[in-house]
Amino acid sequence: MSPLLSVRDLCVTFRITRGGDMPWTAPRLLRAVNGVSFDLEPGQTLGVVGESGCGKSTLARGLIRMVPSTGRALWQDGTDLLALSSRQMLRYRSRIQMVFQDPLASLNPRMTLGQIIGEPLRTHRPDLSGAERRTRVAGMMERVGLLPQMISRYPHEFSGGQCQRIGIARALVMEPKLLICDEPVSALDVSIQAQVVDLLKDLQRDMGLAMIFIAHDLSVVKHIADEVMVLYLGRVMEKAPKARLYADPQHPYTQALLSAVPIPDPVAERAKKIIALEGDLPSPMSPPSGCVFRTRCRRGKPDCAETVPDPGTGPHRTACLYPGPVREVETG
Amino acid sequence: MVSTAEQTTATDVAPKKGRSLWADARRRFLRNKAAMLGLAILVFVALFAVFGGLLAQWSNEELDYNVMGQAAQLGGPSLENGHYFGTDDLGRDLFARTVQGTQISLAVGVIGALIACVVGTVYGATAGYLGGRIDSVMMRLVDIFMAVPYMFVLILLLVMYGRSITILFIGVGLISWMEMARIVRGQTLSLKGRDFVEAAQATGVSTPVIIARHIVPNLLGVIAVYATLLVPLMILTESFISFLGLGVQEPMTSLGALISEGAGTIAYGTTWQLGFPLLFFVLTLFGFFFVGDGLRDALDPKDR
Repeated sequence: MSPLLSVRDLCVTFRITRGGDMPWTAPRLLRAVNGVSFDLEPGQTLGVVGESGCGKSTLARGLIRMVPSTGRALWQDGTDLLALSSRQMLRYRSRIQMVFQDPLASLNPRMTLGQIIGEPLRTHRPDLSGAERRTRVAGMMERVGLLPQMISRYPHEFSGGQCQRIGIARALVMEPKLLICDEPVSALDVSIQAQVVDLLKDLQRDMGLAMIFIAHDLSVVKHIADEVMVLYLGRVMEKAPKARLYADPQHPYTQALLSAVPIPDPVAERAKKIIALEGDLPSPMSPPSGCVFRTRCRRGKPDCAETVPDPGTGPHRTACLYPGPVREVETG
Repeated sequence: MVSTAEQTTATDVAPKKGRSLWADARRRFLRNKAAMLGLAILVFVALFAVFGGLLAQWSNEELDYNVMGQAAQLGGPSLENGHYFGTDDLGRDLFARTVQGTQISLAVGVIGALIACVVGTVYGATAGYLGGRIDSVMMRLVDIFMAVPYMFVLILLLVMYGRSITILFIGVGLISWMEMARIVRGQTLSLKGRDFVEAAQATGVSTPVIIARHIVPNLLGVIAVYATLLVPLMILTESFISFLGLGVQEPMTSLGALISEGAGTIAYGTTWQLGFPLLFFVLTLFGFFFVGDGLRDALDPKDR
C-alpha cells in the first residue's frame, strides 16, 4: 500500500526582522521545523509529541501551507503539496482538514452551527443547494453526537466538548482523507478528553481517515496513535511504532518525557524514577550545534556538539549518538 | 461515541433558534436607561424632522408681512398667528425653518457617517487582513491624509465647487473615513490571528470571502458604536461650516445656519431665534451620544 502522505525533509523557516535592523542586513532565520520526514498510511494515526515551542503546530501549519515551508510532501497521487500554486492547492484543501486546540476560538461567534459546519461545503461544493447542504450538515452533526435541531444555535451556547465536536464536524463534512488534529483535547476536561478521543477513533474507523494527532500529553497519544514521533526544537528525536516507543524508548529525551507521565497507581508512582530535565528549551534562534538536545542531556559527550545525529531509517528511528535504555546516572 | 448526558440536557433546553450575540446585545441595550432616553429623544427629533412640516401653519419660504421689520416686537412665539417658534428677522416662520434645518442636519450627519463607515471599513479591513507591505503603504497614506487640516480642505472644496449640499456630503464623509479605517484595521489585526479565521483559510475560503464572512461581521459592533458617535461629529462639522457661512445655501438651511442667524440677531432681544434651533441641535447631539454609549456598553460587555 502506498502511503497517503509522504513527507521528506520538511523545514519551516521564519525570517525574523528586528526594529533596529537596516534593510540591507541579512534577516535572521528561525528554523521552527527542521528536516522532518515521515510516511503516513491511509487509516493510520501519527502522534506528534513534544514540549511547548518544539514546532508541533508549526509542522501542521507547514503541511497545509499556512506558513511557508520547504521540502516535499507527496500526496498519494504523487503530487507534491508544497510545490503547488495556491489555486492548485485548493483541490487538496478539502482532503486535508484540521481540528484546532481551542474549541470556542476556532468557531466564528457570529455564525450558526449550520453556517460553520457548512462552510467547507459552500467553498468546495458550490453546486449543492442550500437544502442539500443542510441535510449533509445535519447528518454530520448526528455522527459527531450533536442534535441536528441545534443547527440554528450559536457556538457560545455550547460547552467546550460540544464545541470541539462542532469543530470535528466541520473538518469531516467534506469527508477528507487526512485529519490534522492540533492538540484537539488539551483545552478540555479529562472526562471530556476521553469522549472526544473515542469519537475521533470511531470516526477514523468508519471513514478510513488518516490522522496526524498533535499533543503534549503522552497518555492521550498512547490511546490513539499507531506511530509516535517525538519532536524537540523542530527536529525529530525519535520515531517508532507506538508499542515500541512506549515499551522501549531509546532516546534520552523520550525517556525523560515518558518518566514524567503519572501512573494511576500510587505504589508504582512512588517507586518510579523521574528523569528531570534541567534548564529551559534553548532559543530556536540559535540552536545548539550538533545534537540540539545535548545541552539538557545527561548522556552528552563532547562529540555530541560536533555531529548531528542521523535518525537513520527503519521503523524505529532514534536521533542520538548514544541510544539505548535508561542508565543509572540519568535518574535521580 | 455519543455522550448521553450532553444530549439529554441539550434536548431539554433546546429551542429551535439560538440566541445570537446580537440578541444578547439588544437585551442589554434595552435595559440601559440612558440609552433608551437617548433613543426616545432621537425618535422625537426624527419625527419632528419628518412630520413637523405638516403641523406648520406657514411654509419656510413665506414672508409674514405683518411681522416683517418688527420681528423683535411681533415675531415672538405665539399660537395666534401660527408662528409656534416665532419668526426670523425677515418674517419667515421659524418652526418651518427649524424642521427644514433638522432634516438637513440629520441627513448630513447620517449620510456622512455612512460614507465614512463604508469606505473606512473596506479600507481598514483590507489593509489589516492583507498585512505586510500593503498594510504599511495603505496606512501611511492615511497618516499623510490625516496630517492635512481637513477643515481647510473642506472650505477649499466648498469655495472651488460652489456651495452645494452634495459637496458638503462628500467632503464630510471623505474626511472622516480615515479615523474609521484605523479603528477597523486595529480590530482586524486582532481578529485575523483568531483560530476561526485560520480554520477558514485552511479550508480554502478565498480572501474576499473571509473578509466579508468572518472579519466584517465581527467588526460590526465596533463599527455601529463608532458610527453613532460619528453622526453628531458630522452634524457639528456641518454646523461649523454653515456658521462660517459656507454651508447650505438659502433658501435651504441647517441647524448650524439657523444658530448662526440667531446668534447674529440676539442683541435685538429675539432670543427665540437662537433658542429653538439650539434646542434641537443639543437634543440631537445628546440623543446620538447617549445611544452611542449605550451601544458600546451593549456590544462590548467586557470593555467596562
